[in-house]
This record gives sequence, structure tokens and C-alpha cells, in this order.
Amino acid sequence: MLSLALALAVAAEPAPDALALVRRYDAVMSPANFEAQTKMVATREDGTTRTYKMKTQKSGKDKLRAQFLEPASAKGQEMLRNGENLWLWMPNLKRAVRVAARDSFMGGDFNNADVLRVNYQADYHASVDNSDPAGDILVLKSKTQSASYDAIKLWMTRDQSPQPIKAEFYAASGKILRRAEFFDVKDFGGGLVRPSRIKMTNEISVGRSSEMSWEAINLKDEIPAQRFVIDDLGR
Amino acid sequence: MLALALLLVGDLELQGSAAERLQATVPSEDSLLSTRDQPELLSLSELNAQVRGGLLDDRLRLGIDASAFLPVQGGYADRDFDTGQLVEVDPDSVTPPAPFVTLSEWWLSAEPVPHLIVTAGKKRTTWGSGQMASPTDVLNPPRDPTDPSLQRAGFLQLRADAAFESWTLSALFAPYVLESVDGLPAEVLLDDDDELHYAAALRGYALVLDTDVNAWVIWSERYGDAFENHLRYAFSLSRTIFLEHEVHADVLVEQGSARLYVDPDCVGGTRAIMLCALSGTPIADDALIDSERVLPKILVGWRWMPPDGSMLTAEYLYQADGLVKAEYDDLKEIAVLAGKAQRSGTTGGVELPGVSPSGGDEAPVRVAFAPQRRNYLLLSWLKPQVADDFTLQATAIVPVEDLSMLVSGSVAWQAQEWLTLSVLGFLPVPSPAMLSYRTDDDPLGALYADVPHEWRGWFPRGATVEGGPHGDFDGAPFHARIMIEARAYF
Repeated sequence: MLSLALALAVAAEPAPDALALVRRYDAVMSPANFEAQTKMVATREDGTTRTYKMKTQKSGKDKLRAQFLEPASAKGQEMLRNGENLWLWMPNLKRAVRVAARDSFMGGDFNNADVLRVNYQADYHASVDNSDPAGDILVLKSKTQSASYDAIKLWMTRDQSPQPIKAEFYAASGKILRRAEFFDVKDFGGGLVRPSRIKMTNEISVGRSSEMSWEAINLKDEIPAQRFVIDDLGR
Repeated sequence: MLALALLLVGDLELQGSAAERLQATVPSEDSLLSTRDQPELLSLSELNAQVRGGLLDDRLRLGIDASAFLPVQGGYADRDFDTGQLVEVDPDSVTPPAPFVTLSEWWLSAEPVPHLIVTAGKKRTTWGSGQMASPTDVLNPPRDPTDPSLQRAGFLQLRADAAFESWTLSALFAPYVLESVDGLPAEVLLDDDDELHYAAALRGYALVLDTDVNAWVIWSERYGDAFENHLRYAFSLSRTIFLEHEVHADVLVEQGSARLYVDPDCVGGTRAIMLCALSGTPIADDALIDSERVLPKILVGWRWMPPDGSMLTAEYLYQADGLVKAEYDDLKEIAVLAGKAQRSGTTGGVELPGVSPSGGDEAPVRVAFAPQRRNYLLLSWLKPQVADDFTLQATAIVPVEDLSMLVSGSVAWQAQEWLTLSVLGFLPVPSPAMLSYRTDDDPLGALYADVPHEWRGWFPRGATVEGGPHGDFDGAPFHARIMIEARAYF
């Protein structure tokens, strides 16, 4: 009984290096307060693409707002996250409706939570596998229902400033759902150095992938809280 | 021109669309009211422009949503007064529609101090959570439940919001627009008799335990209805549960009702109507306008959002002031008489509640929904990204008291990032009681005859019209309607 309790305690508490790596990932991929210009190119099975451009604002750990600038058919749409809650504001509806975290983000291969809710420290238990010479493997296991995946394997560089290299995202059945690759580490200013491109490959629909690229990320001391309320959407 | 000038002085963005809709309608000889003004073929061209952005270094925010429409239509038919068959109507006897402009929104907004947002102009403001219908939405123009993704028109207002992280307080004053010219208000607030027409509201919003909670009170004075010094209390909530489901509720509580009820003394044949007309008794009036009875309207809904991006919505609407069977019988009888009068040339246009082609002086809607009965079921299903570029949608409006239906379906193809091509169809489905009545043995009619009187209210059967059952959509003015639309975005 005692050994079981100890085992559970060990499982619940990540090793210090695992926690540090998760914090590092959250810090570089989703800093506290910023404004960014982002582009997503979704490639479909027939090879054709759809391109979305958006402006994102983030405040603290759990508030994010994305405003779509292109294409013309999506221009004016906005997405808002506040804690566990996600809303989509439609210009032709003039109101916000709740959306699910696991829904596809604009029909691409990221889901809403991948883009709007990067907070692995809050959502996953972490452990580290040091067996791969290419880098440390963070093994993440969901600890909340709102986590987008049941498990994630995340490769980070093994150096003074670890950066993500690639990731695999799994369903509860153990089936791999998506695979991500991180490219083009770039200095965005303000001490933020991180990959500027992520390619997400859909393992369920072969031939589909989406690439998210960050053209600019401007770190901010603070973004007014009233920018992250439903009543400000569409304004 | 105004938009162009504003683009030059501010950090504004212009977007919009050009659309062409071709519509074919098969008129129904079963329509209670005349269909002589309903075109069999309609072409509706729309140029929409939306301007949004900041002025004066973003100290002011601005929004404009304007559309110009060019309708061209032809082909008319109506039931012959004597034979009951559909016959062609002389097109010269129908007034052709003229091009028109609508301004769905035009507003300015400022944040004079942090957290205080002041908005003035015409803007759509929705605090209720209903998707296809919302009983608390008493200020916006009526929404089209078959098109939950296109509800653009707002109302004139001066509004202040104190918006904080997880709660907002709002105060709103809405003068009523009595007359518009080219989309701009021409007569506002004060009518020719110097009577005021306005509404005012106080609202609180809070995000509590991951639930959107809205509560507000509306004070109205002849705002689009006959209520004077009238208070309405509204409440709504919306919450995501089990990751993929959303539940919501909309409740409106008020005393009395502005609904029109047919005077029972005026039904029972032409003689009864003539007596009412001669004595100056209105055939229909707002009999409950001064009633102290509390008559709530309640909508509860559920939305399922599986990871494939599809969305299934089911909503149930209950209206305590909706028509019971006897009241509905009276309304249908008056409609029958009005239809006969129209077809004999005695009187002109009369609108049958439930299905009508337009939503007032705003942008045309596909279906204007004016629920008359007490209980409605509204269903909607949306499936995007079918073969990547196709979106399927289906809706059904079902009056529970008679189970007739208005079903609509659409296929939209995102042919290019800037171009959407759509095909839409609308089909009124007869009530089971009417279908049964048309058979030789009428099994549902026999069953109904055996139901004790006190239980008959629970039996799905519409009004009794000329001896037979007649549901909400059994008297729709068309058998079917199909639309083809091309919309190019810029």
C-alpha cells in the first residue's frame, strides 16, 4: 500500500528537469503577453492550399484573441479564449458562439486548443526520456479533460536554451493523431528565441498538413484585460 | 463614397461581397392567403460593403455594413377563386420591386476611460444564447432560423459597457426608428402624435464557473409593439459540457402580451365578420396587452460539436402567450376568409403569420419566422469540410402542436478562397393529421375522435379548416423553393 502511494506520488510530481523543460516550452511557444502576426497554410489531400492570416494577442496564461485578416471569406472572424472557454465571433452573425477545444482550427490540421491553449504545464503530467541522443523527449500525459490530446511526446534540444524539435500527439487508444515539426529558430526580440514555423501533419487523413508561421511576435508588458471579453469582439 | 473618404483618414479596412441569388418557387394552391404577389422566378443581386477600424489614432472605432439590392422578378400564379386550381396572374397587375439600399450597421465606439466602452449608432446587440431563435432578442430585427450564419441587421442605440475580465455591466437606450429612407432613419423616437417610442435596458454579464450568464431588464415604450411603460426581465446562460457539448437557455418573463388574438365573436362565417366590421369591433386585437398574467417565453437548447467540425443543434421554444387550438382555429378561419377576399379582388395584401418573404425594411431574409403556437422544436445540422470545400446544412422548424415542418437544406462549395457557390432548398412538409385526412380511412382522424376532450390539446393536430386539420406550415404559400447563390468576397 505504502509502495503504491509512493509510486503515485512519484508519478504526480514531475522530475525537476521535466518540469523545467515543460516550463521552457510554454515560455518560448506561448509567452505571457504578446501580439503576433501569424500565417497558417493548410495543404489538402489534392495538394491545393488555403492560407489564413491572423493577428493574435495573448495576456497571461489563459487569455488569447485571434483576429482573421485573410482570406476575404474569413476576414473579420475572431476567436477568443478565456480559461477553459473558447468562443468564435462571426461577422455575418454579429455574435460569439462557444466552440469546442478539439475542433479543427479553421479546417486545418491544428485543433483550436493547439493554437489558442498552449499551456502544457497546466494540462499534462511530464516525465523525461533521455535515451535519444538527438534530444530530450518530454513524455506528457493529460491531467485535465480540457487537454487536447491524451499524450504527447515532445523532443527538445539538449542545450542551454532548449528548443522544440518535433512532437507526436496521441489519442487515448494510443493511436497517433498528428505529428509536428518545428523549424527556423528565430530571434523575435525581447529575448524571445524560438521556432518560427510548425508543420503539423495529419496522421489520420494522409496527405493533409498545415504549417503555422509567425512573422512577428512583439512581447508586451501588458495588454488591457478588456480586449479579452466577449463584448469587445467585433469592435 | 463615405467609406472611401473614411478609408483615407483612418486605419480602416474594407471588406464585403458581391452576390447573385436565383430563386425558383413552386406556388401552392393550398395557401390560405393569395400568392399573387409571390414571384415564381426571382433574381436578387447584392453588393455588400463592410468597413471596420480605428479613427483618430484608434481613439474611435467605426463599423459600417451596407448593402445595395437589385431585385428582378417575374411569373405569378394564384388559386382561382372558383375552380381552386392554380392560374397565371397578369404580371402587369403586380407592382415590381425597386432597387433598395440597407444599412445593417453603422456605429462609432470609443473607450474614454479604460474599461468603459461607449457605442452609438445602429448595431446588432445579442445577449441571449439561442442559436436559431431567441425569445429574449426583442430589439434586433427578427432572425431567420434557417440561416443562423447570416444575421447582420442591428438597431439604433446608445450603449455603455463597463467591461472587466469576467464580468460586464451594460446600459442601453434604443430610440425606435419609425421610418427609414435608403437605410437611414427618417423618423425616430417621436411619432406624429408626439408619442415616444423607445426601449432602455440594463444588463449584467458574468463568466461564472465557465458559464456565460446574462441577466437584463428592458423597459419599453411603444418599441415596435403596443406596450407602454412595459418591463421585461431576461436571463440567459450558455456552457460547454463534456468537451463537445454546449447547453443554453434563454428566458423572457413579462406580464401580458402584445400578440394579436382574433376576436371569437368575429369568426363563424362572413356574417360574423360583417357584424364586427359594421360595429367597429377589431377582428384581431392585443387582448392581453394590459393583462397582469406573467407569460414567459423559454428556449432551451443543446449543441453537439464533435471533432470533425460538424454541429448539431436542437432547441425547444415555449411561448406562454402562443395560440391554443381554439385561438388557432379562429386565426386560420380569418386567414381563409382573407384569402377568399383577396382572390375575389375585394381586398389587397394580407400576410399569413409564420412564413413571409421579407423582414421589413432590412436585408431580405429567406424565411421570416413569427411563431404563433406555444411549442416549437428547431433542429439544425452543419457539416463543414466535406471533401475539403463543401459545407452541408439542414434545418427543420417543427410546430409541436401539429408536427407540420419547414425543412431546408443547403450545399455550399468554397470554389475559391474568395468564392462560395450554394444551392438551397425549402420544403414545407404537411402535418401527419393533414396527410391522414387526405386518405380514405383517415386513421389519425379516427384516433383523434376517440381522444377525450380534455386530452385533445396533447394530440398533434392543427387548426380545423373547412372540416380538415391544418398545421402551421400546411398553408405555406409554396410547395417548394430552390435558390442558387454565388457570393464573391473581397
